[in-house]
Amino acid sequence: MFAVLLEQTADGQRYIDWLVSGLGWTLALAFFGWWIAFAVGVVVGIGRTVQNRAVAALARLYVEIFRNIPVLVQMFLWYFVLPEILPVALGNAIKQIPPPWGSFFPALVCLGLYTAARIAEQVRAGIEALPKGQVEAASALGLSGYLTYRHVIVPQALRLIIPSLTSEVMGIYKNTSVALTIGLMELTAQARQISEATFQTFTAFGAATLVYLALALIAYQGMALIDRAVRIPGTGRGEDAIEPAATHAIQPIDSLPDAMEVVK
Amino acid sequence: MLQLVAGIEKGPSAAIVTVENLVKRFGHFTALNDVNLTVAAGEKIVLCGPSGSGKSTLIRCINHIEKHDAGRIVVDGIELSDRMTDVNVVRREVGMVFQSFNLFPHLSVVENCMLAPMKVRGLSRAEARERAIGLLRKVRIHDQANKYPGQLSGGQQQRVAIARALCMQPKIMLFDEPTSALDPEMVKEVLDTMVELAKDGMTMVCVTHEMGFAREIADRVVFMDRGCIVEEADPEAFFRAPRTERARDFLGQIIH
Repeated sequence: MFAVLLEQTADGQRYIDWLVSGLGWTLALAFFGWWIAFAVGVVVGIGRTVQNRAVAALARLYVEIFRNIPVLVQMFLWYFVLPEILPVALGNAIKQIPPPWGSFFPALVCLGLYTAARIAEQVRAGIEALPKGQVEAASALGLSGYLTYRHVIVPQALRLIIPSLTSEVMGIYKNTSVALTIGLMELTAQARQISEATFQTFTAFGAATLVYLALALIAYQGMALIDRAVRIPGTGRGEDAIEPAATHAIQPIDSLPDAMEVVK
Repeated sequence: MLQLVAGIEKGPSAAIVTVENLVKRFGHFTALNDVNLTVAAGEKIVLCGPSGSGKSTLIRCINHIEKHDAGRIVVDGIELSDRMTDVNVVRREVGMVFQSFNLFPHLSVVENCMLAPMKVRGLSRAEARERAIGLLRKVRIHDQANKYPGQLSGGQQQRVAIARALCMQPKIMLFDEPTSALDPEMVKEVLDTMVELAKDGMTMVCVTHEMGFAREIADRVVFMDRGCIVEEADPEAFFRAPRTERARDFLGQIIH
């Protein structure tokens, strides 16, 4: 059934090479987009929880804007609208970025900042789920606000949200398919191109589907490995014998609180 | 050790904590109403009283975990205000032990003890570790130094919490019901540690209902009710013959 993928294309390649090329763009977009999303998301998520009201309001504004506009619309905004509202010279320079980079960079920024808003909400939920005593203990030791976030709050909050970050990892690479609308020849776009060239619609999209599924499994397993690697000893399920007195004293760090947003 | 030195410099009765006309409100509820308290260097004070009487709030004000609404608090010569630089200087000198331990679960026992000395006092990793191990040995838990808090019993966690506070070499230690969250068989190991600390000359303010402990180490028992200090006395006098009705009622309820 997938034999058609091995046939020669008009440009001398095989159809499967198109898919591989598409996969490359999908992975590149998801990988670099993820690091933008993670970095911005952690900063904005922390911003949502600080006492400074101006900072908290700015962080909130960021989240509301980027989370509530459909990702497809955001893609168009970055690709079509941004060059028009910038000064003419700059706008023209952006329009003249050669393909595929002219599509790749807007898609990268779009997915990164969109996913960042979602990550920020989870970082905030993770921070707010920590027992108040953690901040009090850090303050009582004389740690400044920055040191408290850096060494006490953020390391715990990030561990807490790894399970829900898994869906963001899977989300960002699935959302890369939206980049086809601004002309990036990623996996879905290549599948469509194969379908149009060969009329083998089922084969083309079937192959893309299998690749997406495989990526999902890899992402899931990767995150599960990370989760296990950074799990705090003494808090895992049944991993250590914890004396009964100790179990009620510490917060169950791997149970998600009600505040945790369930995504997707 | 530290305390003896400080005592010589300032004279044996120099006040290390002065609380004047302290008022703290939570919304419409007045948690502390015109509280005055002086703690001399080296002194051990036990704060007791019914729940909701303001005793925890009082010691939480002393290191500014709660902000007071009126009155003055002077700790080691520094008045607590909203200036965070002052607050952080005071907090370095004031150790605190909580009812729920509040150890950092993602750090090992020894890392819990090393964090603040390294980041706040600027000790090197080696110095901080040496100090941490020394104090963990003092609370007899150094053999668990590389475990994580979640792997320890409540009594062990609380002893680690005491060692963690001591690693900052505080001039005064505040205890907020340190044994209330513990199973009965673990209370003694924590109290023993506190008694030892008291005998070393540490200035201590303890919120506790452990009256045996109060008798053994307290220089003064301060009884609070409804946000006010109702009675202050030396422990013998307080337990034998409380002067106020409210203190008598309270003692009648907790001594079985």
